[in-house]
Amino acid sequence: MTDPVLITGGAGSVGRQLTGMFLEIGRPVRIFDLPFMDFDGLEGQDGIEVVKGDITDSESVIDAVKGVGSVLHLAALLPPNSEKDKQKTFAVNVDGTKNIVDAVTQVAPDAIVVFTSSISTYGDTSGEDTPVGVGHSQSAIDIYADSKIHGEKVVKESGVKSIILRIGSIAVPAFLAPPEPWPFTASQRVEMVHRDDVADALLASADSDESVGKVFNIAGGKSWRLTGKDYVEDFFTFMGAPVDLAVYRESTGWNDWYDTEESQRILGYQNRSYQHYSDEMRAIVEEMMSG
Amino acid sequence: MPQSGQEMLDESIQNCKKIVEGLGQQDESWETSLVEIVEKFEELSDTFFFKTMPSVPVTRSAMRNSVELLELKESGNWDSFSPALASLIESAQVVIEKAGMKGTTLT
Repeated sequence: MTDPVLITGGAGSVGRQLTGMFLEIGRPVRIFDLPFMDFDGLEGQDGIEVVKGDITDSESVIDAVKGVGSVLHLAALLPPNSEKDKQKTFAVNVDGTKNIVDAVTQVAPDAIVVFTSSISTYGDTSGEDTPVGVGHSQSAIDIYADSKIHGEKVVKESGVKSIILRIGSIAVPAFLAPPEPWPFTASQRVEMVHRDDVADALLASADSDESVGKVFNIAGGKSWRLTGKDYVEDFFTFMGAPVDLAVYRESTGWNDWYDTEESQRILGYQNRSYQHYSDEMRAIVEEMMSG
Repeated sequence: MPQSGQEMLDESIQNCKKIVEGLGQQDESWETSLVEIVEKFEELSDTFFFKTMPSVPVTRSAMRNSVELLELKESGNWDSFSPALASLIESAQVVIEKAGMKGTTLT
């Protein structure tokens, strides 16, 4: 495939990482993002085309989609911002997705659209058997999940060649402040996924004809299956911070353990274990201590 | 007993406040620099970074520099004051930069 891959929301950290990965395999990339974003390191680079626009503006979306072979649709309003204004969140996450699939239908009908959904769409599954499969019913407990359920519907009903990735909570190997509260209780099952494994899943999806029409859970795999308390206590230990500072959700959130057998078999993205992530975090903190 | 990043930040703030008192009579720009450090440190105080181990070495440097500067002020050693203030500003900038850590987004 030599047609460019379009990455919506591509100026963000995951988009930049993916851009580098596509360039490594010789695939040109088109980045579509809001004009005020930082495009340093992207604009003017060989193999990268930047299109500045707004996902809610159908005209600029058509410009972005023309001639592409695949679309990785990452652009979205994420929590906590998504929880402040439902109308705005739906405009970006649902209407923006509609603009993408409409544009693909019009000007790039052979392109595969990879829609980044979320495991949050399953809602509270804590009282059920695990792992949670893609056939599980969807029931939003926040605006973000609600918008992703509607976004999936838009994609499925559009008739475009699509792949839906329901992505788990992403663990970023970096020195970051913890969320307050963590979006799960201490006793709840959680299965995060390494940021780079998500990038691998997106990369593999871009041209995966075998995956067209499928919905996949994207989560870390068995080594990442923990309780909220295990994950958070490890996090605070890595940071050298008192564990009693952790603030958990009071009621059960949307994390659980997930069935990723099919996604792993087809996309082969689970390349970093929880131990790998733990080692990375320790190394990052050690470097900060010595620097 | 080892001090936490937060405790050393608090001590740095208190030292800077003592240094600022009457400093404008010597040099207004010195006073302005120290007031800016105090304001920024107070703004960052109690954030997560100062509860972590990586906050310890950088806040220790800022605290030591503030102690040295306070001693210079109290002894009236104004010849050495300006370079010591430059060291404090440098270490304060490291604290400010590292404390501006991004938050985790979990979707």
